[in-house]
Amino acid sequence: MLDFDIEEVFADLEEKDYREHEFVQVLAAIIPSFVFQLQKRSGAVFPSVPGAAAVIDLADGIFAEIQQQGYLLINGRGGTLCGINVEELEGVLFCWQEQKEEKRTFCDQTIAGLIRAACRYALMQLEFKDVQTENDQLSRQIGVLKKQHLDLVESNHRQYMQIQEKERHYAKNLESEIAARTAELRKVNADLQQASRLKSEFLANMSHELRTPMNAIIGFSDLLTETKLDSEQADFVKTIKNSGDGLLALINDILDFAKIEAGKLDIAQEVFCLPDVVENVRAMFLKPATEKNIHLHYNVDDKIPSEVIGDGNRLKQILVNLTGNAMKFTEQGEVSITVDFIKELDSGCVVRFLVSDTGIGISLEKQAGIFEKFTQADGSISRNYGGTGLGLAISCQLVELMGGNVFLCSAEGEGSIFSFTVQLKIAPSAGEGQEATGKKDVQDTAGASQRKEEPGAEQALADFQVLLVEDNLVNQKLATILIKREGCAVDIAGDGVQALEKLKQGVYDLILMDIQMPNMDGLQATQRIRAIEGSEEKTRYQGLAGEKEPVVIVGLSAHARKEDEEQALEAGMNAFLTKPIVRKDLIVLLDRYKAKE
Amino acid sequence: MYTPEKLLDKFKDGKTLPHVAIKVTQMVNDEDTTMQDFEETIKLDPILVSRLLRLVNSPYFALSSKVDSIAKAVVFVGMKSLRNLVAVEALRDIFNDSDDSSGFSRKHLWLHSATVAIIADMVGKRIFGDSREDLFLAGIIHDIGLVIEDQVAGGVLREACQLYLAGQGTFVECEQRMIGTDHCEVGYRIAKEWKMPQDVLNAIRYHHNPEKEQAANSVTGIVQLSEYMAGKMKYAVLPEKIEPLSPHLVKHVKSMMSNYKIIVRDLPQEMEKAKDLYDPEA
Repeated sequence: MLDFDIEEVFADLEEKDYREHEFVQVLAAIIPSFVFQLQKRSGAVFPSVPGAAAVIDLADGIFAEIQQQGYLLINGRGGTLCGINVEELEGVLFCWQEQKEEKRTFCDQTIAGLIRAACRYALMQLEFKDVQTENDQLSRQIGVLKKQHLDLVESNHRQYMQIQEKERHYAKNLESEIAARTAELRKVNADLQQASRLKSEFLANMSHELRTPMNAIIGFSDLLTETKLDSEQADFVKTIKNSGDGLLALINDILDFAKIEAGKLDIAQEVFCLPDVVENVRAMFLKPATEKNIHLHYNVDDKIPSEVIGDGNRLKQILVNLTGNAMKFTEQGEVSITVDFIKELDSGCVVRFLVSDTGIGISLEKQAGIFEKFTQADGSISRNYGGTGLGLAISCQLVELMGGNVFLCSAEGEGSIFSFTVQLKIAPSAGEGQEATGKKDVQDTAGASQRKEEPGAEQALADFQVLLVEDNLVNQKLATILIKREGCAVDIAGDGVQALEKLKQGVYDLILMDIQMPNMDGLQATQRIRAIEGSEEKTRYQGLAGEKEPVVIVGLSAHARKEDEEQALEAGMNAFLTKPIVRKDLIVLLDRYKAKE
Repeated sequence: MYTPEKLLDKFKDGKTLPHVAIKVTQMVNDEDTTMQDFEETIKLDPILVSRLLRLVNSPYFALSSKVDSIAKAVVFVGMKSLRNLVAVEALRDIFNDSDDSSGFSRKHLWLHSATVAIIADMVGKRIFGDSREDLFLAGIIHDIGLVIEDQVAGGVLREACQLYLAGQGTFVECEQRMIGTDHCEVGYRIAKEWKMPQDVLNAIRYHHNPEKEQAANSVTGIVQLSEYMAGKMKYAVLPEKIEPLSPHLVKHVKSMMSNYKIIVRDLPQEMEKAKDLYDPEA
């Protein structure tokens, strides 16, 4: 394919007879010994010691001879290294020896041999030079290969390290991305919780605002029933009262629920009587049970101590809810409340409550849903049975707060069993010192109802002076009526400042002090009153100047939280009542202080 | 008459170096490139992958085991060699775009380029003990300017050739006179756009510039030498008239004459081994 002559490629660059010249140079290097032999053999003496130039001349002469004979010393197409064919050259030399007879006179066989050897040597020198060159090239190529190899190894190693580094980097990035996402989700979650809390707080506030007018509606319809009404009017008032009660219950539910959601509901740890609580619940539903002809009964395990520590009121609320549901969805048969002793603990026991009915039951697929908020098993049920679906949700949450869970076992058409367990501590000594609050309530209630039977008491105690400090006009009115009904005189102050003014002139047996008021709130007013009582200033306040005990202050607040009560007592109040004022509680309270009087 | 810009503008309407080739050339210059990056880029052109693997497994690389992936090819022959092969593939398409054979043969030019590339590689390794992969790249791409001129202004280029053969000055002078620019400048500009290494750019720009003395072992010097040798071996664009070598390169060649003769002797063998690289029919 490639059509070229190696010698031709660089022909333009080379001086003429380059290769021949090279040959002559090599030959000339050997010639001094050749000359010496010539002198020795022929006896001929050269005019002077042959210098380099003479030697080259001589070698050139030999070369010229060779060329003159028409023999090609250099054979570019010969195919051997450097194009010189040694065999051919030897032939040339022999020819030369034979044909030039006259020169043989001083150039015998030995000299011919020497020339031959010298020529061969020169040729071999050339050949050697070429081999050496090739060798050089090969070693350079080996060097290059080595370097390339090394570079590759190095580069591969570098890449390997880089890939590793990249992978580490990816892993790190992934980690930080996950971390960022997690943080983001946490934040969103926190925001959502915050939003939920805010909503619940709003709900709590709203409920509170709703309760205030409800209080008035119920209170006044209560009072209205006691006036002279014809039967139609009595029926209207009863409807108002029932609706009001229903609405208040609902508002209470919402308030409870909101409190739970907002994490503001605390579980009390008080001594109470468990059988009494269950009995109370049964008593509540006895009337509707009789009306529906449903058998309602309960059973409390004997092993359960009657006096335990826990939140009796909340427990009652849960049972009322579950029993209420059972009653609602049962048309015939029975509803039963069972309390079992499960096991004993170091400082208490585990108790299981079962509320079972023979009602419509709940299908399996709907069972999971009913624990969701605002859900009833069947949307249509709301229309048939009413209810908000809040009750069960609240019950569940309360049980959870008490450390338990509500379980449901039900089959459609065969009734349902709701159960839950709670841990209760056993009261240290269920003896005289600490009276169970549950029982006390019952007694108090009984006392209150008895009191109603004694109209004569009203006049007897008319000189008991009460100062009502309350900013809300409706509440003022209601409370005034209630207090007056208990045979007490009432004076009214709109806030703390007004109350202090009243105390300058008037003397009171009891101050009923609302906590939240404009100008000066109940807590501030109480602190001020106690401060005045303890100083010389009291001489300016007739109501506080008395030598006897300090004036009785009873706090009044819509917030029924424990810490509200604690705050009130800390401020110097003697007792605390929640709004809306429950009539019987007020009666108990007034009775207590009247008795001291 | 054309300016280099005008020529390039017109040329770019037609065929140019594929994106993958440009990207690969860039990646080789980046210290942080890994075989994975290389493989990902080349994989964008599946035909190129199979072509490259064929070349890597050809006798030219004389690998002892078969290479079946680009990543492996990087491991065995290195990124720069692989880049050279990508360039070969891309340039072959450009060079063999037309079958015009009147006076100026693209096919001939391609063979010339391949010969120069192979000689340059040999000279680098055998004379200077140098393993620069840029030498091959410079050889294969040094006359890209001619392709552009041929594509855009083929007629005028032929006239310039005639002028040159008629002895009206150097080839570059004739190009200047007829076209308005020369293939060195045009080639330099396009190669710059293709992000070729600086050595290669210099070789393209100065390979016809005997006044600017190039060190014998520089890429430009070696390309000049290789082109001279290829020309003398009848693998020139216009083998009828070979431009002389600049005096200092003559001096260098003379000092290493036997070395160069060995290269000339071994060239046919090397060309045969590299046949897959330049012979489209192979």
